[in-house]
Amino acid sequence: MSKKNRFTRRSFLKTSGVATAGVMASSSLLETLFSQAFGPLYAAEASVSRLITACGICDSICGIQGTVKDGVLKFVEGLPGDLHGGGKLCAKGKSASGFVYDPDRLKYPMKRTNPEKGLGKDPGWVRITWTEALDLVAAKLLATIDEHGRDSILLLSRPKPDIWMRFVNAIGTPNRCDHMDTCYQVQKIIQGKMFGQRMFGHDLAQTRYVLSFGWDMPAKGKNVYARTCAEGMKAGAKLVFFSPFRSATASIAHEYHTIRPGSDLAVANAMINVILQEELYDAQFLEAYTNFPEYKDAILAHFAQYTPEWAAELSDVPASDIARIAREFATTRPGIVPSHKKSLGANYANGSPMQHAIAILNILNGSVDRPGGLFYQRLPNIPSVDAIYPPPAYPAKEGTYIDGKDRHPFIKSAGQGMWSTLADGLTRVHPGRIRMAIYNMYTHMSMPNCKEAAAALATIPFSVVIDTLPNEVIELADVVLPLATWVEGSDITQREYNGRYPQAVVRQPLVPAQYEAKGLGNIAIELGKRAFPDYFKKADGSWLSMGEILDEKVKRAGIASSFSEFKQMGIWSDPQPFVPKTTFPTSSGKLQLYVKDFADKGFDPLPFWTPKREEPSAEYPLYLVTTIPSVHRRNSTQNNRFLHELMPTNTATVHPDLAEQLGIEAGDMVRVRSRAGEIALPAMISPTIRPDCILVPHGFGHQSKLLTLAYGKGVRDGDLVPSQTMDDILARRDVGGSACIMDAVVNVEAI
Amino acid sequence: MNEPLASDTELVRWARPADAGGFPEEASRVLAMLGLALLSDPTEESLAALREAATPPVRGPLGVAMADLARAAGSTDLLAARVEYTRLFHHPQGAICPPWECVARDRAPHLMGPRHHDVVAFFRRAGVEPLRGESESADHIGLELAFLSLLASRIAAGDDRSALFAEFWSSHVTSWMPAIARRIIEESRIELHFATGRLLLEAVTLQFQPGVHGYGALSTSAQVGRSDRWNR
Repeated sequence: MSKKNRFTRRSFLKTSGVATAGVMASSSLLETLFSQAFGPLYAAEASVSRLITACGICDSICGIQGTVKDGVLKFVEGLPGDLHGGGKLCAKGKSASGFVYDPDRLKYPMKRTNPEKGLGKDPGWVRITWTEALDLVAAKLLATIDEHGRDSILLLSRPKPDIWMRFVNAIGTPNRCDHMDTCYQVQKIIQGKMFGQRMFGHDLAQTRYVLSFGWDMPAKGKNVYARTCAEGMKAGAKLVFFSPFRSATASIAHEYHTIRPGSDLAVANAMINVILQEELYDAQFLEAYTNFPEYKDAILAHFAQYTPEWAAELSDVPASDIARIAREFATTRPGIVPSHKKSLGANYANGSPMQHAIAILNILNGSVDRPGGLFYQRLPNIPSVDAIYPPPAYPAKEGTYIDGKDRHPFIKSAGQGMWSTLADGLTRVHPGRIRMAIYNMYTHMSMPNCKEAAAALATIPFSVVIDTLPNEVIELADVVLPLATWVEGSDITQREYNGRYPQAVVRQPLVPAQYEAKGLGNIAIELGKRAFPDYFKKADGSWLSMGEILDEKVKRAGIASSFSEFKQMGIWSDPQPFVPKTTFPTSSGKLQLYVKDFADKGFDPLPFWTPKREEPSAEYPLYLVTTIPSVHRRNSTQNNRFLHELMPTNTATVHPDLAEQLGIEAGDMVRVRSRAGEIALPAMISPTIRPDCILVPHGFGHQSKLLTLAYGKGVRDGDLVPSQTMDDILARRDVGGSACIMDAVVNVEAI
Repeated sequence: MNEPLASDTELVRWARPADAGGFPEEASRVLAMLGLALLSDPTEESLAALREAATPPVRGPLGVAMADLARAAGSTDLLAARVEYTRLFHHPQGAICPPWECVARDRAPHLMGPRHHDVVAFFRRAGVEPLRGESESADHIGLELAFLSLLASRIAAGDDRSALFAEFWSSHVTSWMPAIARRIIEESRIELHFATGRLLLEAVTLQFQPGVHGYGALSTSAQVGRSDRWNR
């Protein structure tokens, strides 16, 4: 703002003529008003600007170009020339302004004035200042720790950004939970042992064969996967897809098999058996880079039991197809069996052995970290805030683990958290132990058995909600802190999905944070200053700041001389040639087909066939199948006006044969029941689902009346999914702790 | 209930300095009072300003409504007033009294829509802008009223902005403020906001009577009685 254009309140009053004789009586009133209402005249600056930022909808992190006119975000589009997103955005990314300008957004810090909490009770919100809110939360946090211990604090939050994790670590509670058991926890644990790390890199563009068990990314609008898969297919790759329902991925696949839910493991194990028996694997690769030679006999003996004929009985996939596809896949190299986060891993009780089998198939093909296969993402070396500004030693995370993960060696070391066991921990195992909860962009909507989860969370005496929208848990909150959306935030993002060489993309505010919303990093620093000041000071005693942290990160990573410079650059990359690994980041340096660590701790070292948790019965004769629609991101986008317009609610997809049998017509209301609960929603009759399944899209059924568009639209699939206990997980020797988010059977009737 | 009759012709006369005879200053004051009451949640300072704003007194129903609001500002419990403001206008019950013109008038709930841009264009014609960043968007009822107050004060100071005033009034006041005023009256649980709604309804349904100047001589189409709603 140039001095010429500076427009002060004083000059305003002067030019407005308020401070002239005869109107003095109203001048104090006007002065008060105008000091709140009007500011600098920036009309002279009004112009169109285009800024680069990184999409924050999903971990694809597509490049975005946002067009801002007169300070208002007009629209966004894919960043031209971006090799990652291909210059395109999915519907969710395109709807960015719908998040920023949602009238329902949380705008100011607030506190409750009605001490009586509960669903449907007016909290009596009152706006408070940030200072008051931060003081209140910090004081309550310290008092709770003093009185009840560090483990009495529960954080429902992802583990990022790192400055937020400094605040979490300074609290010292073992109880930070996130949604990862409904997402990639299984993958993280299995791949962590077999490959040495989680594998998000898929070289689909150069592959020759894609063997997909429920990997449905082209149908989810995951741009980089959809684009590269299409490129690969255009170059001649074959796509074979197994799924109980015919999604968009099925429509583009060369082969689609309507597999019985939860039986993918049987098919995968049988394919491994065929490949091993017929020695179709990449023997040179296995010999040089895996522990196959060491455990060959045990591996062959293990898989010999899984014949295609046996798998056909369980899966409804013909034995001849299983054997043929196994041979095609093994001999068409490079091939890939993609696995994205939750795909199958979190769905069923046999998610862990399924992830194990998928990993083995990739290894047998010899394509791991080879062009056309799964690859280790090459990431920029961006230092953490703790590396730049070393903190004092953090307190040990001791005491009660409310979700029971301390009883499971691999889940504990994964360090994530368990949605599926949280309710049991809060109400049965450790009732009353948690005294304060801090929610960061989470609600019970994504938890199995959401009704039970909501009741369990309601037992916590004091809650702080940090969010962009007034989601379900706001009725439990004592203090609400408004969070900036990703469109308004600053960060350095790195690309894992397409990380063939290091790439970083700037996240910068396309528009300033609206109203009084703040970014999570700044909230962490301000809370940290009050509660744990020693952790938020630099060596010279001055406070940490987000600006300095970002500057230091880009400098030390060699990306730019300052974050401001990076903002101008938008994207940074270091296009090194792809050099396939010959040693791998596992304990032995080799890829692990047989995982001895699992065996040593009482789990299966190889993928044993395990049925899913629930199978159809006389009472519940149908499988529940859920999906996340391509135009929504779980339960976080239903109030976005653009996405709401595309898909405002959900319906139950019923096969025509089943509909006829039950006397259901299109549009009829149907009741779907499981042992966990029931929902009622309209039926859609379609042959895209198996006749023994009911498909219910996830993410709908918001119950917060404060979400104008999303409230009351559709139903929650989670009401049908039983929660579980850590005893359940240990009893089935589930090494990854799947949340079983699709593992339910149901009955259906017309209402 | 009569709908507002504020035609361009009447408003041009209404805000014309030569005819108004002191009216613009009173207009500026009542609009500023409303803007202050509606722009943000109450503070000790804003309540004090509202108490002062009814002096010197204005005659007629509008003056009565101003005095009621001033009296309510003097007797209200600050915390209760802040809770009620939050309930009515911030997000929790925002759907009841959405304070943004683009939300109230358009079916699609989206801030910063075309109406917002139109309001900003009016502001610029007068040489002002709403605060950036933490400020409300330009089509917030409080800012629209503040803008009108500004124009009226300029008119009072001899800067003839009456055409702009009339144009803004017909484009952005009559179409939605009477409805939100009635909504505030219906929904408010405390006297402060009931009085705000009543004053707003009085102000935005004004009819100009030729040859008679000043608020005190203006009749209103809004016959809103007092109520004990806030005591429920």
